[in-house]
Amino acid sequence: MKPKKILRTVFTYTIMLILALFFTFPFIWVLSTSFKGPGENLFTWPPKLIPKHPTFENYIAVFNKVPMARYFLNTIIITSLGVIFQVVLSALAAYPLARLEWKGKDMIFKFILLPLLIPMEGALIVNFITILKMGLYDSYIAVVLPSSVSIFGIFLMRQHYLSVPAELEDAARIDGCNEFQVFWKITFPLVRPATAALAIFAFTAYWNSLLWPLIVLRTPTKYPIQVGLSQLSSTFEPNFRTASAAMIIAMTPILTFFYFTQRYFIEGYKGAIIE
Amino acid sequence: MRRRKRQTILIAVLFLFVPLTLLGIFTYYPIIRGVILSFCDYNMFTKKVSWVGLKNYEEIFRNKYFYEALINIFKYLVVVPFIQLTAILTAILVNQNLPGIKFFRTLFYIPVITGSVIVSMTWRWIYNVDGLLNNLLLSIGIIKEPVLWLTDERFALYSVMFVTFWRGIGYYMVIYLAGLQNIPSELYEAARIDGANGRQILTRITLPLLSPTMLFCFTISSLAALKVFEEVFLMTQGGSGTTTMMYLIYDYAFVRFKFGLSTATSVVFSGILIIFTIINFKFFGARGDKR
Amino acid sequence: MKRGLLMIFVFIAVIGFCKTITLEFWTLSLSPTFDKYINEMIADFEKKNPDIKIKWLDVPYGSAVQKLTAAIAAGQGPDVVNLNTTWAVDFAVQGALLPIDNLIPQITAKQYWEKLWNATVVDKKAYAFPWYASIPVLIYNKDLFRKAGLDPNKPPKTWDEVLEYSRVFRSKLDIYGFEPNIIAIDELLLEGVPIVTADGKKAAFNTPDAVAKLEWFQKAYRENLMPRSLGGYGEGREFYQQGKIAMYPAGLTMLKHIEVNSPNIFKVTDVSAYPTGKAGIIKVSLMNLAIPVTCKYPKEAAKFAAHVTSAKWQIEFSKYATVLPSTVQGLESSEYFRQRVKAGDINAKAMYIASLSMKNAVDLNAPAIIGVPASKLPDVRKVIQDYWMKAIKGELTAKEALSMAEKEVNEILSK
Repeated sequence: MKPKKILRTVFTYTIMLILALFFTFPFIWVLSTSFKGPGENLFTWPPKLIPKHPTFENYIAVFNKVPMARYFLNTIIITSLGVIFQVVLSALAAYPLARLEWKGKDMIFKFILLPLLIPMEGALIVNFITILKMGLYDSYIAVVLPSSVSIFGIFLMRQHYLSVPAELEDAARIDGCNEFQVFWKITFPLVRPATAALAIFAFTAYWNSLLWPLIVLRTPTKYPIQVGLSQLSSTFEPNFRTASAAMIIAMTPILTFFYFTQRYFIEGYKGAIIE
Repeated sequence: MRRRKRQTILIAVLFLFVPLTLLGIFTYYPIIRGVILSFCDYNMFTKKVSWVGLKNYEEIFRNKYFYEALINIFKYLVVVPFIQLTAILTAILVNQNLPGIKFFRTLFYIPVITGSVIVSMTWRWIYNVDGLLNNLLLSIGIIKEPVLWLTDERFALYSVMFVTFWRGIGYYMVIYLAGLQNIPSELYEAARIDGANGRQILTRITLPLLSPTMLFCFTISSLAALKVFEEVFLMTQGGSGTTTMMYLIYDYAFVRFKFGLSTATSVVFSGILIIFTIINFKFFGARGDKR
Repeated sequence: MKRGLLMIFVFIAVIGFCKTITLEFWTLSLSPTFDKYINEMIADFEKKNPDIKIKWLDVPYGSAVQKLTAAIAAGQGPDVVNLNTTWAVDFAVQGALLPIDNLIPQITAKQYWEKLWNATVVDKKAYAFPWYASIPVLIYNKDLFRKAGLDPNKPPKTWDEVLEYSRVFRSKLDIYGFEPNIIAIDELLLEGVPIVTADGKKAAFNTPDAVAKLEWFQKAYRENLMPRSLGGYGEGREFYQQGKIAMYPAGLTMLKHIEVNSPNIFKVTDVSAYPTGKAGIIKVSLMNLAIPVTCKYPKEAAKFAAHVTSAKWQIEFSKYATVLPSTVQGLESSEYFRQRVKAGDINAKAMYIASLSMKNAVDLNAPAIIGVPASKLPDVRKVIQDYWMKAIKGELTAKEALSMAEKEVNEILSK
C-alpha cells in the first residue's frame, strides 16, 4: 500500500513538472531576460537562460522611465471595480435563471446568451458615444461599466447553481427560511468555487485591458498598466530588458491573486454543512 | 405558498434589473444599431447614412476570402475536444491536496496571461525551420527534411491551433476545478471501496457529474474557436491561407472603414454561431440541465 | 466710480483679446522617450504664440486607429494628430481630415520634399504635413563577411549582388544571406513596374520586369538564401541578432534595436546604402501630422503643425532618434550631426547615407503613386500579395502568378 502511494506521488509530481515546463517556457525566457545586463546579447541562439551578471537595474528602470506606480494604482482601481461588478451582477442575475420557477426564465436566459453569438466590432464606437452622453468621459467607471455584466459569468454561475442539490434548499425552506435567505445562506455559499473562478477571470481581463481604457480615458495619469508596457516596447524604446521587467511586474499581481483565490476551490459542500 | 411565489418574482426582478439594463445599453443597443447599419452605407465621420438594402450582403458573399475564413474557423473546431479533454485530466490531476499544488496550478495558468507578443515570439522559435520542433523530429528521424510549420498551407492553421491549445488548458482547468468541487468526495471513497478502478471512476462518476461544466466549456470553447483572430494573426499575419471571420469583421471596420460591411458580416456570422450553439446544446444540454 | 468702470472695461477687453485656445496634440508612441524634446518644442511654440496652449497626449501605436476613429466619430477628436501615410490617406478618403492647402502660406508647403508632401494628396488636396521619415539601409555583419572571405568594406550595391553574396554565405558558412520584408506592390514599384494603367482601369503589372523580379525572389527561396519562414523585418531583426543572417536590409530605426539588445553584434555591424531597383527610387516610411474635421481652430492647428515639422525642430529631433527630417533642409546643415559622423557613430553614418537618398525617396503607400482608387486598394493589394507569395514558395511559376493576379485585379477594378 505505502510504496504504491509513493510511486503515485512521484509520478504525479513528475507529470506536473513536465507540464509546468511546457506551460512556462516563454515566461522563463522573459524572466531571465529581465535580469540581464546591458552588455549581454539577448537574442543568442540557442537562447541563454542564465544571465551572466544578473541585475535588478531593469526593474528600477521601469519605474524611472514610466510612471509605473501611478499605472499600478489606476489598474488596481479599475480591476477592483471591475471584479466587484462582474462577480456581483453575474451571481445575482444567474440565480433566478437557474433555481427559481417563474415564467419566461428560459427565454430570458437564451436572450442573455445571445450577444455571445453576435460579435460587433463597431460596438466600441457606439459605447464610447453612449459614455460621452452619460457624462462619464475620462472616468474609471467608464472603463468598467460597459463590460460590467459578463454573459460568460452568468452562464458559468447558472451551471453551478444547477448543481446545488435541491434537498439542501428544500430543507432550509422547511426550516422557515424565506427565498432571500435560501439564496444567501445556502445556495450562494455553495457555489463559491465558481465565484472564485469568475473573480480570477474578471481580474485577468481587467488587469490586462488596454484598448477600451485608452479610448475612454483622456488623462494620461489615469492610464492602466498595459499602457506602461506598450510605452516600453515601441520603435524608439527597443530595450527588451526593461520591457521584460515590466511584463513580469504586470503579471505578478494576477498570479498572486490567482494563488490566494484558490482556497475557495474546495468542495462548497463542506463549507455549507457547518451553517 | 403564495408568499413564496411573490418572493420568487421579487428576486427575479430585483436580481435581473440592473444586469438587464446595463446589457440593454451597452450590448443590445450596439447590436440593434449594427444590424440596421448592415443595410446601409455609413460614414462614421461625416455621419452620412444611406440605405442600400442587401448590397452589403451581396458583396460579402462575393468575397472569396469569406469562404476561406468560414472553412478555416470550422477547421479550428478540431482544437476543442483536445483542449477540453486535456483540461479535464489536468484539473483532476491538480485537484489533489498535495503540498505545493497551488503553486503548480498557478504555473499552469501562466500561458493564459502571457502577452501575445511573447507567445508568438517564443512559439516561432519552436516552429522555425531550424527551431526546436524540427530539430527534435529530425534527430529522432520522424521527418527527413525540416517542415515549414507556419508557412506551409497544409500545416499553418494547425500549428497555430496548438498554440491555442497550449494557452487554453490553464483557463479551462480553472473552470473544471470549480466544477469538480461539486462532486462529493464520499462518492469517490464509496466507489473505491466497491473496487472501482481509475477509469471506471472517471467515466461513471466524474464525467457524468461534470456534465454541466462540460456543456459550458464545450460551448464557450467552440465559440472561441469559431471567433479566433488574434493568435492566428500574430503568428501568420493572415498569410498562408489562414484568414478568419473575426479578422474580416475587424478589417472591414477599422482598416477599410466600411462599417456597413463589417456589421453585415457580423450578422451572417451570428447566424452561423446561433445554429451551431443550438446543435451544441441539444447534444450536451439534455444531461446538463438534470438536477 | 468712473475709474472702476474703466478698469472693468479694460479687464473685459483684455479677456476678450487673451482668449486662450487649447489645441490637443496626439503623437504615436513617442512618450516617454522624447518627453524632453516634445515639451521643449511645445514650450517654444507657446512662447511665440501666447494665446495658444498645447495639450499633448501620446497614444500607443497599436491602438491609435481605433482611438482616433472613436474620438472623431464622437466629435472629440484631437486638433493635430500624428499618423503614418497609410492611415492619413485612409482617414482623408473617409472625410475625417481637413485639407490643409488653404491653411498655410504656399512657402510653408515648399519647405518639404515634394514627393513627401504629395504622399498624402488625395483628389488634388493635401491632407497632412510630412514629419519624420525613415529610410531603409543595408545593415550587415562585418565579421560574417570576413569569415566568408568577402571584403566587409565592399557591401553589395545591387540586388543581384545581394544574391551572389548570399550564395557565398550559404556555401561557406551555411547561413542565410539576408531577410527581406516582402511587400509585393512595393517591389513592383521599385522596379519601375506600374500597378495600373494611367486611367486606373486595368492592371499593368504583368511585365517582363515584374517576372524577372519575382523570379529573383524565387531563386532566393529555392537556394535557401533567405529564410523560408518569410517572417519579414521582425524575424529578420531576430535572426540578424542571432547571427543567422549576414545582411539585414531594414529601416534606420532597427539599428537602435540591435545596438541596445545585442551589443556584441552591433560592434561588428556596418551600414551601406539600400540597393535600388530599376526605378532608382527608395521607399520611405513617413510620419505625418493631420488635422481632423472635428478641429475647431484649423488655422491655429496648422500653425502648430508647421512649427513641429519645421526644419529646425526636425533636425533637432534627429539628435534624439535615428530618423530623418522631411524638409529639404536636412541633416547636412547641422554641425552637430557632421561631428557625430566624423566620430564614427554608426547611427549617424546610417542617417547620413540615408539622407543622401532623400531626394529620391517616395512613400509607396501614397495612392497617387499606386494609382488604384482608395476603396479598391486593400483588395488589389491582397490579391497581388497572395499570388506573389505563392510564387515565391514555388506553388506557381512567376508568369502564372502574375497572370492570375492580373486577371483578378482586373475583375476588382471593373466592378
